Amino acid sequence: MRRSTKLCFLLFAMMALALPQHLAAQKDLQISKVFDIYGKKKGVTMVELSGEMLGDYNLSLFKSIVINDDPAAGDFIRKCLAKDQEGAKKVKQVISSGSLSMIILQLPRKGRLNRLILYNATSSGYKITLVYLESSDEVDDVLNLLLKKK
Amino acid sequence: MQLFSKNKTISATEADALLEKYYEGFTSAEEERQLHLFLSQPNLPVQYEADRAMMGYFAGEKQAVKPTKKPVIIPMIRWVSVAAALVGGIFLVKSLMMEQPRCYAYVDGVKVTDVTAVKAEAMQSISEVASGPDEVEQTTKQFKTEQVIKDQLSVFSGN
Repeated sequence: MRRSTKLCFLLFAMMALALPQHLAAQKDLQISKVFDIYGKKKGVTMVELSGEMLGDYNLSLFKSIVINDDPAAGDFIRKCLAKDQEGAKKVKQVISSGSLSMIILQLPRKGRLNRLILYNATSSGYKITLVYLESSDEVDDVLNLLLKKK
Repeated sequence: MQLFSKNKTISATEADALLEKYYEGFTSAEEERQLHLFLSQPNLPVQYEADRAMMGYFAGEKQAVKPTKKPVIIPMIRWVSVAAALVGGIFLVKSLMMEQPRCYAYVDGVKVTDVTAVKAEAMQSISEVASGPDEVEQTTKQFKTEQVIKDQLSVFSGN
């Protein structure tokens, strides 16, 4: 291998090591499109928190989106979830009247990070909530902390 | 008398005089050069051995050390500079790609950066999802109740 090629290879390796893990972790998912497409629309609330903002919860990334009265968005989200389910573990799933009303997915780990997707839709489908989480804690601990902290 | 011509060596008498001057510390640079030239000659009388040992030795040492030091120092400098460049590169890339804590929300397309408001929105969305497990429990409870089972079986009993 030529000296310049070796140097280029080394530089790319350094950049890959330096890349923040969650940047790569979330972009491989279909639901990232949901945040990109619907995040800034009317009738939608999107939240993103990371780092020290989540100190109380031991999370490294929290992203959520709440979409009101948009059946097309609902269909799109369910399609994305169907793809992200591949290779993921279903922690919980509820199907109501033949359609998905709730699901919690535990995604394959990315490095030291556990990743979770939480989805909930009201029975009428009027309000859809999608949450994506990353944490170095165990999944059970994260869910217990979040879902029972009311 | 060709005492200070560039390449000609001085005579023994002149050398003696210069040596005396040298040990007294009064020689100029040019005179010392002439002395070196004189003492570096082969087949010098034995009386100059001590002077030669002193002055000639240092002159010889300088020439001997020079070529050996060079190849040692240059690779060292090269490797140190490569290592420094690598460490500097890693720190630069790290600092460029360092993740800044993010805290924002979009409500109806309007960006909100107030920490309290963003956290409140986050809690709200979590509570939306958290309502799910309760619903699940309630649904499961309903299906587990004996009454429901009885009701469903009663269809087949014809009562």
